This record gives sequence, structure tokens and C-alpha cells, in this order.
Amino acid sequence: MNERPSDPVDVPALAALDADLPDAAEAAERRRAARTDPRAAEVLDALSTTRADLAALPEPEVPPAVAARWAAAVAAEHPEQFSSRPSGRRSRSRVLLAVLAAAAAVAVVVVGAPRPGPPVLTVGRVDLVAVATAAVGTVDVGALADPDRRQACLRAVLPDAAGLRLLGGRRVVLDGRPGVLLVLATGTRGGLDVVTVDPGCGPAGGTLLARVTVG
Amino acid sequence: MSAAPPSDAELLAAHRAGDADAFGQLAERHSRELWAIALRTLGDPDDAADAVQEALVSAYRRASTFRGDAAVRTWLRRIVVNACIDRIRHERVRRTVPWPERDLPSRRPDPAVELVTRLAVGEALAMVPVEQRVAVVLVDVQGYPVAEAAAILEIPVGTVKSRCARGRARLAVLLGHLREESR
Repeated sequence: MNERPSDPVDVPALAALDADLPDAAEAAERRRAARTDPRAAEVLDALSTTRADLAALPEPEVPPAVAARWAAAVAAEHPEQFSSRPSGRRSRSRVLLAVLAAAAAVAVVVVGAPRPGPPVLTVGRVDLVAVATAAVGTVDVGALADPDRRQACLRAVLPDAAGLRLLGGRRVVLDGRPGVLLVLATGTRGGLDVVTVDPGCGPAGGTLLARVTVG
Repeated sequence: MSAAPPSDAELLAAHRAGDADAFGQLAERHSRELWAIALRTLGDPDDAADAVQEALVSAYRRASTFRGDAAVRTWLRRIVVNACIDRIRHERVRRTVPWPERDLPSRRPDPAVELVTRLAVGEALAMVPVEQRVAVVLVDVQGYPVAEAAAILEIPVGTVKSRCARGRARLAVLLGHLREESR
């Protein structure tokens, strides 16, 4: 036993060895020395366990609300973001938005008879932001898919939202009334304007059922 | 017969050429990984979300400055890492991370006590100095080769190894795998 417990074990040198810092010859020499010192072996084990702990961290899921914020922020970078354009040219982040929306998981109650197309969602006011997050990238807004009609509707019921870029939307039933939820980019990074109007909203006017701004 | 998906470089080039959807595809492809880097580095989900958002917007705007001397993936990772470091250095994080030496777990002869004082890995990471933390996150958590971490951080490979070594030694104590008197 030539151990000398009073001598502190050289953790930095062992950590360097563990990190493959010394050249091959020096590393071999240090490893040989470490094998004869239980305290050195203990340190190397501890470093190895630490690396294993780090590697075992699960990959975190991107929260849907965060994904929606990013999508809105990227959408806000588009130079034509606030223009009301013909539907021929779609959102620059359409693909991103669609994928992010697919990843979004929101608890909602699905009602309505089974039929082709997305179901109508019954939502409460407290659900609006969550539903809006999940709706990003989905365009199920009935007649309001027509940009001209949508803009006319917004001009009629909520002029300050007219011209905002549409990120997505869903048909919903809100407080027992049918409606169309529109997710609009406010133009500020991550900002969303969630507007719910009646399905017949258009040039002749309409009804604003709810509005929630995010960010 | 389906076409192969465009490469990162092709998407970035398309974005620079005015393709409306290209950057969205690129961001989507890497968003999960960028989120993981930011969350592990910053600890706080709100900070991480802000950092990735900042990074995506920055990458969108700076696409024309990308010179192709690194992979697009590396470039995106670098922008996120820099956004995280910037937030920490400018104290734009929601919780403080300093961990004074004197506050390190002291000698605890009782293994039970020692066990109780073990910190969750994520919390322990937040207590490691930022340069060491980033190196450890990239190499040990994300599993990138040291050379890739060096490319992301734009530092020599040896410096990455050195930062990892010091970070792991510190974490080993914080996680209770190593007694402080060994340090």
C-alpha cells in the first residue's frame, strides 16, 4: 500500500484524462497509474457516471404554444406580411406552420356529425389560445378562406385586425354559437391576434364573438 | 417515385433566392434540436423559447451572410448557442445561475444525506459556468462529436475537451458522484 490518503487526488488531471486531452502516450501512462490507485478509479467512475447522466437526459418536446410563437415570429419577417394578397401565393412558413400544428396537442371536444373535412370544435373562451395554437397551419375557415371576404369581414367587425396575416383558422362552436376562429400574426415577434367571428361574416358585416391577443 | 428532400444548403439557397417556404422548412427541420440545446443551456423554458425565436429571426435575416464554410446545421446551432450565451452574459435569464464555491455540497459522511442533496441533472447544469456548460451540453447531452462542438463554438477541439473536463468534474460533485474533498 503506497497510497497516501492525505494527498488529494488530482481530479483535474483525471478529468482531462477522461476527456481525452493528453496525447496517447501520456494518457496510457496516466491510465496505468490510475489503475493502481482506487481513489483515481473512483474519480474516473464518477466522471463516467456523470457523462451517462447527461446522455440520459430525454430530448424535450417543443411545446405547441412555443412552436406557434416561433412560427408567428418567422411569419412576421415576411416583407409582405401585412398585405392582403391573392391566395395564389401562400404563407412563406406554410410548411413549418403545418408541421408545428400537427405537433400541437390540445384537448378539445369534437362534435358534429361525421363528414368529410375537419370536425367543428366546441370551445370555451378559456380554450381559445390553446385552440388557436393548434390551429396554426390549418385553414378550415369556410368562406373566410377567400382573402377578400376575410378582409372585408375584419374591416367590418375589427378594423385594427384587417390586413393582419392569417396563420391558420378553424370552424368552432363558441359558447354555443357557430363561429370561425382566425389566428392572425400581429407583426410583433411571437404576437398572435386570435379573432372569432360568425361564419357569415363578410362585406355585409358580421359579428365578433371573441378576441384574444397573445404576446 | 418521390424526389429526395432538399438539403439544408438547398433550402437556405432557395430562401435567399426568394422561395417563400424554404426557411420554414429549414427551421422546422431543426427546431426540435435547437430547442433542446437552448433548454439545456438556459434551464428555463421561457428563456429557451425566447433564445430560439431570436435565433430563428436572426438566421432568417442573416441568411445572405452564410458563406458555406460550415454546414447549415452547424451555423444554425451556432446562432442558437450564441443567443443563449448572450442572454446569460447580459443577465437576460429568469434565474441566476452563479454557484459560489463555498456553497458546493460540503463533506457529507452520511450517504443518505448525500443522496438527498443530489441535484437534478438539469439544475446542476445551470450551476456550471456558461462556457463549460455549453460544451457539456453539446458533447454530452446532445451527443455531438467534439469536432462539431468546436465548429459550433468556433474554438479549438482541445478547448472543447478542456471545458468538458472541467464541467464534468464540477457536475460530478453537484450530482453527488464525487465528494468535494476529492476535487
